[in-house]
Amino acid sequence: MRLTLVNRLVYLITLMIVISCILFALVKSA
Amino acid sequence: MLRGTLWLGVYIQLIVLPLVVAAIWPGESGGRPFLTQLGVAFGYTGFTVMALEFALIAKIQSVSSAFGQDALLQFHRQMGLVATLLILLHAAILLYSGYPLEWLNPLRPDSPWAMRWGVMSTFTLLLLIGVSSGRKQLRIAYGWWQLTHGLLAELTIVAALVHQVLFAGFSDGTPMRILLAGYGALVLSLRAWFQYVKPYQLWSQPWEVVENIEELGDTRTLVLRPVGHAGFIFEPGQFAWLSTGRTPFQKDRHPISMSSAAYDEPGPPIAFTIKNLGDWSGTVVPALKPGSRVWVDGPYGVFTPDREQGPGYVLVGGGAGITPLYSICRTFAERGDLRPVYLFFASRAEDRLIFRRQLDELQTKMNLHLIYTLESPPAHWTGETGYITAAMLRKHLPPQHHRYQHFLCGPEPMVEAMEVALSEMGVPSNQIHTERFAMV
Repeated sequence: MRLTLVNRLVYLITLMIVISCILFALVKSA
Repeated sequence: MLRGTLWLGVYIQLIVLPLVVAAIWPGESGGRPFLTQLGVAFGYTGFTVMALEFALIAKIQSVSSAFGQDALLQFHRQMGLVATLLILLHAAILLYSGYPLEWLNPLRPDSPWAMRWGVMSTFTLLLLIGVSSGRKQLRIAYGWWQLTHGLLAELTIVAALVHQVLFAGFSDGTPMRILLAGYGALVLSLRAWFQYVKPYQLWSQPWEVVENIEELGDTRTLVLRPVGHAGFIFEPGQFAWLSTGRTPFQKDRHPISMSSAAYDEPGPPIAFTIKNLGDWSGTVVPALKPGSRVWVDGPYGVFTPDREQGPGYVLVGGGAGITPLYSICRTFAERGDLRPVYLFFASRAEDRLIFRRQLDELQTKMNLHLIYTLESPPAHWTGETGYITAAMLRKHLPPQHHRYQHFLCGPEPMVEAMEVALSEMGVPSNQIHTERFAMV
């Protein structure tokens, strides 16, 4: 079960990274 | 739990930190088109995820005891893929948004150095992923794989660092330069810790072989004794990293489960049971004689009943996966713990039931219910046959097993199937604990 949790965690972190990148690009683009 | 959450918080902050710094001190690089900035952001986060990969496998006790080494390894593997994806997106988006495609060829005379380093970093990263995913198919020995993996990872991160500094952009400002230097220093110190400091600490704590016993099922048990130091205390079900040779500075270290009983005081010899997988386990281990040096880095792992209390235990093991479960049983017998233990043990054939005689004996010393099942049973076999199934579990377990703690250890497909079966039988997920083999 811990590994299922790991998979979910990886998914959440990836989602968070992508959202941060999009936010960064929105803030910093012309 | 608290320590785990804290570490996770630090991890996430370190991933996005360069974006925060770049947002505050953008230098000349603010105001480019959205896609360009997105591509750049993927590059920075891909880099930080890669840099933090080193921390996940550095075997820092505080981190590994918060999550368990096998969960950390799984996380390391998957985040490695995430980093690769980010880096590939970084390249694809920037090329799409106007960077010349010819720059991908590092041999072109007009290709900027920043690009050459970037291409090289991506190349070594892809090579690293290829070698890791195809290790079995490519038949790369574990020790050589460990060595190549480390070197390729170092090359990737150094090249990526140079790529960023040369490219300038957001990395042009002093705050970002300091931050990038910080990541570089982090990676180097983690590598140094793993490669030199840790082995150096082990050097003053040698172990020697007392006995090298041939077991059933092509496995061997090494009984090791600490030499000139007290050894360590472990919890039943844990493992340690073993290496052999004159010094602990070896290219390969092997995760091996303890198979002896766990004691409250350090000092007694500790047994490790090793399955012959062909490489180190098949050539070096059988040749070890009493008195041979072994280096033991441990204990690690959270697959232990000592951390999961319950009114009873269900242990499910396949093949060499019996090792930590056997240690759990021996510890129960040694402690006079009379809580019920149901042990399901699946094996290919009768002559591969490792520790069978010892397990049968343990039944007289503790409340142990043994259920053996064989894939190819001999004619006289009266026990269970085939894989362990939900029906088999139901047949042998008492109705109150829902309150017990369940420990599964063995090959990946078996562990997966058992996890699903137990969940469907109504066992809460926090009472199912797993240890998978072939994690690395």
